[in-house]
Order: sequence, then C-alpha cells, then structure tokens
Amino acid sequence: MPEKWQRPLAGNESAETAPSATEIEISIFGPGLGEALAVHLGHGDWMLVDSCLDGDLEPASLAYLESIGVSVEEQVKLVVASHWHDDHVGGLGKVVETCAAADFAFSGALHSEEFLTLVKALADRSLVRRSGVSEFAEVVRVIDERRRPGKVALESRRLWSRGRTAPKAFVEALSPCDGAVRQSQRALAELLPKANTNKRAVVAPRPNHASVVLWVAVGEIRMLLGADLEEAGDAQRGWTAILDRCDLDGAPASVFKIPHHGSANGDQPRVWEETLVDDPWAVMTPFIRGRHRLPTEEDKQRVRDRTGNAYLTADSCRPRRKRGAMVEDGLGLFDAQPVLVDPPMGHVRLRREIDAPTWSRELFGSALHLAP
Amino acid sequence: MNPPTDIAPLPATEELHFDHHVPVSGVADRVRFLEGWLFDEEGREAEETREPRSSLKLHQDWRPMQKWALAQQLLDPSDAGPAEEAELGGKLSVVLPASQHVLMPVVWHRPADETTREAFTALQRWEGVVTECLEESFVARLTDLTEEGPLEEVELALEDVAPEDRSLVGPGAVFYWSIGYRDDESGRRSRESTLRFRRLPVWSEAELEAARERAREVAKAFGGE
Repeated sequence: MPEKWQRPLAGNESAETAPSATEIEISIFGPGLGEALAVHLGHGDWMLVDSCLDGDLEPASLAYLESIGVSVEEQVKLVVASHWHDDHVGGLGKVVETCAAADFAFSGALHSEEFLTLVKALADRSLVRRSGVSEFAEVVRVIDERRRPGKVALESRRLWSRGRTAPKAFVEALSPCDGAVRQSQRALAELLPKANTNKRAVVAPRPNHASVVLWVAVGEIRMLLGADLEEAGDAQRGWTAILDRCDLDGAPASVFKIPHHGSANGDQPRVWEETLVDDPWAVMTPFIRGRHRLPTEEDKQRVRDRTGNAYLTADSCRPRRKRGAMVEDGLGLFDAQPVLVDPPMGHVRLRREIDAPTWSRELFGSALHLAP
Repeated sequence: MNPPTDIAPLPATEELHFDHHVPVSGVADRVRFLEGWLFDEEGREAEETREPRSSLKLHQDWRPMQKWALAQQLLDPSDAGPAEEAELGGKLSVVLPASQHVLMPVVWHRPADETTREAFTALQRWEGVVTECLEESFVARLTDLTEEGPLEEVELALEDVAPEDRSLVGPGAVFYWSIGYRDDESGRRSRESTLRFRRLPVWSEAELEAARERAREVAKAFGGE
C-alpha cells in the first residue's frame, strides 16, 4: 500500500474555512494528470470547472468544498466540463450527480448525436474500468434522470449570471467557435465504432480546439480560465478567434488559468497583452503522460518572463507505488517501472475581498511558486 | 495440415455454445477468439466479464497443439457438425465429436465445486489501456486489479509482447499484465511476468444501432435548450 495520502488542507484549521459572502475565491487543483477548478462567485454561489481525482479517488473540488463547509448540493450553481479528455473528467459523473442544484454546461463540440452515440456505445465499463467516455456516460445518465437539460457552451454564450444581488456576476463562454465545433465533430465522427471492427477503448484525439474558455466577472473582478485551448494559428479557431471575435466585458482579468498546461502551442502573446492586467496571477497544472511533460522548462521560463505571480499545482516528479518484494522483482523481468499518473495533489488558492486591491494566495500540497 | 503427434489421450468432449456469432477468418482467429473470450489473463475462465459467454470451460494449460486441434474441429464442418457460420437464434453451436478423432482437444464441463490447481499464481494484476505507441515501445495507463489505488502509467517494450499479440498493440487496446510465479509439474517455482492483449469482439450493426437509438433518446435531455 502507498503511504497514507492526506488531503492538502488536512489539519490546517485556518485553511478550512469557507470564504465570506463578499470574498471571491478561485482554487485550482492539479495532480500530474488532471485539473479541476472551484470558483466562489460571491454570496455562497460556486462554480466547478472540470474534475480530477485526489488520493482518495474522490473528486478533488468536491472534497475541498465539503472540507470547508460548503453545501455542494445547494451552493454549486454551475458545473462546466471544458472538454472530455481523461485528465479533465475524473470523477465528473459524481460531481454532476452531487451538485443537484447546478446547471451542467459542456462544449458545443459534444452537442452531437455522434458524441452521444460514442458515449452510449462505450458506456459499459467492462471494456475498461476507467475512461473519459465512461465518465461522460455517467454524466449523461444523471442529466437524463434529472430532466434538466444541459447548457451548450459556445462562443459568447452566457452560462450563468446573478443580476439582482450585488456584486453582480456572470460566467460567459468564449469558446468554442463554430469552426472549432465543426472540426471537433468531424473528429468525433471518426472515432465512432464501425460494424465488424474490433472493439477498443477510445483515446481522445489531440489537439483540442473546442474546449470551453470562460470569462468570469464578479463586480469589477475578472478571471480568464483558459481550459486546454490551444492556438490554432488561424482566425477561425483557438485563441486568435477569441481575441478577434469576443467582446470582453469591462476590466482586464487579474487571474489567468493558463491554458493547456503552459504548453507553447497554448500560448498566444496577445492574450497577455489584450486581456490581462500587468503581472497577473497565473496558475497552471502539469500534464505528464509517458515521455510528455508539460510545462517544459522553456514553458515555465516563458510564463516567468510574463509575470512574477506564476504558480504550478505540482511539479513533474512522479512517485512509484511500492509493492511486495516478489512483485518488485517481477517488474524487473520487463525492466518496467509503473509510476503514479498523479503525483501528490497540489492546490493553489487565491482569495480576495470584492473591494480589496489584490489577491492573497495560499499553496497546499505540492503546489509551488515559479519564482522569477 | 498434418495433425500433431504428441497429444496424449484426453477427456471426453462436450458442446460449445457461443452466445453470439463470430466470423471465422482462419485458424488463428478462431484460436484467438477462444483465448480472448473464455479466459482471463491467467488462463482462467473470466468470471467477471460481461461479454457474451460460452458454456465451455477449457483447461488452463491448453497447449498450442490442442488449440490447433480444436481450431481444426471448429473449422471443419464435416467433422464438427454445424458449421462455424451457423447462427441459431443468436447462438452458434458446434458439437465436437467425442470419439471420431484421436486429437480430441481438452474440452469439458468442469463441475462447479471442483477446484483445480493453478500453475500460475498472480501476485499483482493490472488492466492496461494503450495510450501511445512509440517506435519500440508503448505507453499505457494501468488500473490496479489487485488492490484499488490511483492510476499508474508504464512504458513497456514491444518485445515483451508475444509475437502473436503485437498486431493488437495500438491506441485503445486493452491488455492485462500479471506478475507472479509459476509452479511446474516438478514443483519448481519461477517468477513470471505476462502481458496478454484482449481480443475484443467486433461491433455488430445491432449494437451500434442500439447505441444510436439510446443517443437519440437522451439527446434532448443532454443538450436541449
């Protein structure tokens, strides 16, 4: 058995308090392969974006909210699935089922008969025990039983708002645009099983130009949550489409969830110049799969060069799960060493009173500051 | 194809009842079908599988020659009765004659309460899904089947995959990795690490149409506005 895993906040009483009604929060959770966000929109209203599992195999954002006394059944108003890659949907079915009062929003690229057919065809967990498709199948089951339609996230579409109680707040999707939706739906159609071909698990295609980027406004505070959107290099998709086509409301954003794990192909310099304050609070999560490591050292340096407030939820060190001597010897027969997909969970928490000049930050677990 | 000569007298045969129709493209495919559907990675019948099942139980030490013999039986309508393409109410039934052939494979119904000594004892088992193929290796995500735990990942060399399985290695392929020890007949024990790729059945048009129908049913609830 691995050493007992402890939630990052465990035993830290001062950290285990919910923000006040006028205190805004964004918490970003990220082990090595996974990402989840929890955003307090004021007045006890929360939004969750994506999901990943913690060391107890529970959705990290749910576990966190429960640990600080949030009634997730009532207070979570919106759950957003930015896209369906495995690293963003771990435990999403449980999140949607538990957050009974929340609307569920998902990328317009998934609003197709092809995707639902894929989900329904591959829903049976006998094919593989855990996958992004089976997780989405659970979401579809919950939404279907609840009989409250999901919200389709598309460019410039408002997903949630609070207009009567100050501070006013809203959440708006900045993507995907039509071109990205069409491209993604073509890619999804390619994944559909064909008769008389052997069954296989589905590995979601990359790159992803159809994930849901969010613009969050609470009073005068703005946050840009970049999901995994990459720069496509044309005006019809990716970050250029957002910058050219979306009318971003009000002040520039002071918080930036850096897209696509800080990768170079998720970077568009205009985002920093046109949508963010100087020296914004910028947070990214790592992506570690096989030989792929994001962010790279070059990626980290690029972000450091742009802000002194850059944070990473976990570094790329991946521990092994220790097993008995005979199994360890057996591993040597193949000269193979399984490593945990996820290093210990890291959590970056930013809080700010609605009228305060800036954010305060706390780091939990393996989260770290990328010092200039 | 000449029959092998080293097969000892074997127990009597029974019937094979398959729950679905399986296209037969050759001996190798048929043998793979048997391995992939009736056994788990340790050669035992896969009790947990929800896939279509057969009433057949095979000995875990099923030898290549015996597989060959069974394949021959299945593929030869004159020997085996109903042909391999016969589909009877969704069931393919192939009767193996009990006395016509000296190369009768080991096929019998094991009584439910009978326990057999397992030659291979697994200490650790994973289910793997291939996520990426490289030139001489592949990367896979692992779910621990021995003790629940966080997902793991490993890079394995293609040369550790049995030659007959290598064509199955591709993104999305499902396999089982077992580490344990094997006791041979003389009582010697040796460590063993095995990879076995699942030979998943083919999608039928009926399955896909059912999925499309279910998709249409939930489409409005999922994204209606």
